[in-house]
Amino acid sequence: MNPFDLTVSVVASGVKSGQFSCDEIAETFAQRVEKLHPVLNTHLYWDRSNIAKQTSMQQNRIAAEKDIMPLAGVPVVIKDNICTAGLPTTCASKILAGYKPPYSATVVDRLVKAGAIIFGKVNMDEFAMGSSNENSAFGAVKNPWDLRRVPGGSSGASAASVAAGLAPAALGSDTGGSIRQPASFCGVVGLKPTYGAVSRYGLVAFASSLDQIGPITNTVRDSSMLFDALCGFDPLDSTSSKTKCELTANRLDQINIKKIKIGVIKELFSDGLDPQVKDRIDQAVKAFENAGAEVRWISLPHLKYSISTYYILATAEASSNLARYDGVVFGHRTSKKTDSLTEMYRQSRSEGFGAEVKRRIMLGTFVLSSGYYDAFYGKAEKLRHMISRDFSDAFEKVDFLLSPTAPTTAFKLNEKITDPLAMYLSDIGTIAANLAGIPAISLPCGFDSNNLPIGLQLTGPKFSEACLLQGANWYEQQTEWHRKHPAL
Amino acid sequence: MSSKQNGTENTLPSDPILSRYEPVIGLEVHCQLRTETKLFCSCSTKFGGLPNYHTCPVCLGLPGVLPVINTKAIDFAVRLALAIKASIHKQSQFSRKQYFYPDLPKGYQITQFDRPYCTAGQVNLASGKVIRVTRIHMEEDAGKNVHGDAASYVDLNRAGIPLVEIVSEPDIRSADEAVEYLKKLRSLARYLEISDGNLEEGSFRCDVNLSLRRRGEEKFGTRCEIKNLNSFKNIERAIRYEILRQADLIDSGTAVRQCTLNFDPASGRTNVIRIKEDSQDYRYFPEPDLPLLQLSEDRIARIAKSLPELPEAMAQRFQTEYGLSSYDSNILTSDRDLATFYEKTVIRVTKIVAPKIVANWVCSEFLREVNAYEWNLSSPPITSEMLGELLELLGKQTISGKIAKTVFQEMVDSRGTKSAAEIIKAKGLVQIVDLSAIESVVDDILNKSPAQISEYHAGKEKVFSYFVGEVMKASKGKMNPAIVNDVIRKKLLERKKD
Amino acid sequence: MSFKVDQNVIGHVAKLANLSLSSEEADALEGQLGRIFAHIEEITKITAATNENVYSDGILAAHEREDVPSPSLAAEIAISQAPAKIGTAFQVPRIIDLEG
Repeated sequence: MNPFDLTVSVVASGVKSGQFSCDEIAETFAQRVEKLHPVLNTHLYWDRSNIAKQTSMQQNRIAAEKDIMPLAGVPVVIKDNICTAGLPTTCASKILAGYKPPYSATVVDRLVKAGAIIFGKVNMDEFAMGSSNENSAFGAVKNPWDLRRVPGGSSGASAASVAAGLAPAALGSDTGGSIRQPASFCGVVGLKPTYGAVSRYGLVAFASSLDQIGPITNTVRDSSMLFDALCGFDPLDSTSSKTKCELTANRLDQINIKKIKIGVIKELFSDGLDPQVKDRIDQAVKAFENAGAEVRWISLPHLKYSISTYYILATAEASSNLARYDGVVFGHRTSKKTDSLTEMYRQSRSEGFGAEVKRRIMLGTFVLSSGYYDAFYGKAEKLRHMISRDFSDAFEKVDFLLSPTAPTTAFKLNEKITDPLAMYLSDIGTIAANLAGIPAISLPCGFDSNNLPIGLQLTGPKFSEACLLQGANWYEQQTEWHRKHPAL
Repeated sequence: MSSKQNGTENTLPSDPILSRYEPVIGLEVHCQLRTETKLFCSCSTKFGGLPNYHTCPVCLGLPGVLPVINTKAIDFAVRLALAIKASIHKQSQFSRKQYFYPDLPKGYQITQFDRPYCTAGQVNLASGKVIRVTRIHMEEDAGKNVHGDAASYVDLNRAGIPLVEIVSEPDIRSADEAVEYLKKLRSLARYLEISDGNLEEGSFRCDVNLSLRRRGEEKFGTRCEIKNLNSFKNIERAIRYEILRQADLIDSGTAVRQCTLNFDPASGRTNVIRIKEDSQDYRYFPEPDLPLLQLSEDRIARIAKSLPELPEAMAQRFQTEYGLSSYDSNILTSDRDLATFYEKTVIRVTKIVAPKIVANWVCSEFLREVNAYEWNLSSPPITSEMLGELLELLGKQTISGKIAKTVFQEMVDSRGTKSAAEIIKAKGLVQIVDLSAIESVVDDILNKSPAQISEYHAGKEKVFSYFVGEVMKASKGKMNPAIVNDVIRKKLLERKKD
Repeated sequence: MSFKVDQNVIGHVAKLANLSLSSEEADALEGQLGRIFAHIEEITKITAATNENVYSDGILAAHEREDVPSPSLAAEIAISQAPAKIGTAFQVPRIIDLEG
């Protein structure tokens, strides 16, 4: 079987109808993992016997429970910052090497309940901090389209796995673009849901007010099916929304494109934008326009401050969220003899965290420290509010916003690793949606002259996933980009 | 500042130090809330148990967990705010207070910082002085570190237990006021059934902020903080010692340095553990895992309606309903269990013994034993039923007041295993009210005392008590004293006529 | 506001964050954080045009949980991931006092 024919919807309906068994599906993808992991460095945890247990359990449920198994037999790779009970969860950090949580994230429970197979834990930037997946304590991940290039980050291996056909779907997490930018770099679909739509319980926190779990898949329909299984109130997450999520998959085609109003974000068509990326986005805009959608420019005046705002708020929260890695209750403790508790703390943390994580802890600690809080954190909170207001003003005028996901296609390994600021600045297209807590999706819209995928981003108001996915699905139906796969 | 604030200024103390310096004291009280579960997770709050038996991913601070607030803890916190007539804020916010310590598994404590749920309350002292409460906020407790010789050990059973921190204005001027304020607060917490207020077990903890200023000066001196005081006695001792320490420093021309101290009960001294320059930068910021805490007016009103009668109102009622003095009323209502004990006893002996008599017994006899044996007032060995039985026997004149006290002592000595009736029966202590029996004993005594009778008839009235004493002695105190008095008077009169 | 990221700042912040940095790390951070601050400082210069309560559009009221206990972890599991333990307690170097 060709793994790329086995989309989420094909697998689920085939398994439920008896066309495939869970084992057959798992075997097809497992061979793929075992062949390509050594090339791409995607998997941090992979255990066939664990998968066999799951397939047998899910297969046994089908007879009685197939109606509540929308993802029957679907292998899903899980980013390694999402807790899986009894299975390693490392966040690609030395500080959590060997750590096995005693509980599973709500999203994992929901996937399993929906019939999915947890198909290994995959690589990422350490603690989801990075845009290239080079900040992993367990080695960089390669882009399946060009092994000399990065897959994007921080959910780099989630996107690479789906792009390379190791699984039809992946879970990623997105704090400033960590689902959408790697989806863009790897030529797949990535959805960052509305903040509060999907439970964060069991997602190892990077920046709590920005983090959101979402799917990465080969098609918009597949993302929609995963989103439907993941979303909804969780009593274990105080920030999860009690507003009942609208299901999206059953009305994906119900769109009248002629009634849709689209805003193109002016500020994201500036100097830093690669001309080839700009060209493909222009083509996408035309496609909507030609079909009768109303397209206009929209300005988001405070967007230019989003990087500064983001790197203050996200690192402040991160510095706090990462205080628990002190070598007491779990995680790495130095093996060096330490005379005092403080020495033990400092040595363990310094050994356990990588350079980018330390950088962000330092930045975040500084902006919260006495004398600097108001100037940095306080101001950033206000700016976040203003950026959010820019979006709500825009959504008075249009249904969704259109922009490039990233200003460039995948860059080369080691190209930006020594210049953290340049790396931060490349997040300009994705960060604002996290600050505003609104949903955004990246989907393929073409290739550059190096045959590297280009991503188109659609952004909507809070809880507009249904509409957003309809728009994305409409565009996908007009194009063939999602049918192109890397030759490996 | 209110004029009531300094109730002691007109009576300058005779103490040479206090005549020169005025102590300025503010208190921070941490009070554990008696919920079934922790503040942010569903682990039990039961006291005791082996280390880490009441923990879960949330209170262990494992990666990926999130706090979910306990609705009962909020209700309890609101009760306290209502009881001290404070402002309750419809929106408040949790923040993270960040520092590294092994008993703090997340590396931060979830607490309220710049937007607490409650501000501006008050506690009234018996003198009428008002101690203002700056704020109350909710927070989670830390775990416990146990120190061994070579290593320390961490138990997180206590981590996450809900606390309210009650911060007073620096309105307190003496150790006595401090202790009275604390006792009032603790009593309130018990009336409200939100805390057991146990200092020894740490469910009610107090930090003292103290500075001295020269009498007549407006400006406060440099303050020091005394931490972790675990009994009212130690709080009082620590304050008295700290006043001396600071006065000595100032007298010798040394500036008081802002610092944190602990109190060593063995030596009775306070010791500096940290000076201000080392103080930590807690890097507070709003807790992103918890949306704002919203308290609707409806909810506050509903909680207000459910409040029990509070000590001040109850003391007032005791005065009007039972005719007690304000002194007795205040004693009886100083503790909810004591007040309950008293009222149950009153009801037990209705129409037989006056509430005032019951109050005398509870305030003197009963409380003496409570203090001597450190009885737990919620379950004393002498129950209100048992005291009621005794007082009923007294009221029905089955025993005399004197015998009643003897019987009570026997009850206490038996740790409540013997009832008053049993003791009276076993020891044959039933009061003799039979007139002919009393007359016969009186006749005997009078026949043996011709000299005293003459003295009495000659106008020495005091001799009367001699006859009473002899009769009571002869009857082992069992004869009803009132009847004995009547009979002696009658017989003496007869003999005068003779 | 204007300030310079120097080794004093790096040292102070590292202490707060409980990181012990090698001198190479500290040197690299001085330059990197310096450049990052030069960028993010832009926001300190903006006069925030809003006095709106930034919390007012806080979507949610905190979800509250009923006060009903549920089973805790078995203590053996609670301590199973600890680097050092004795009995069911976590073990740490003897706490003398906290140095900052």
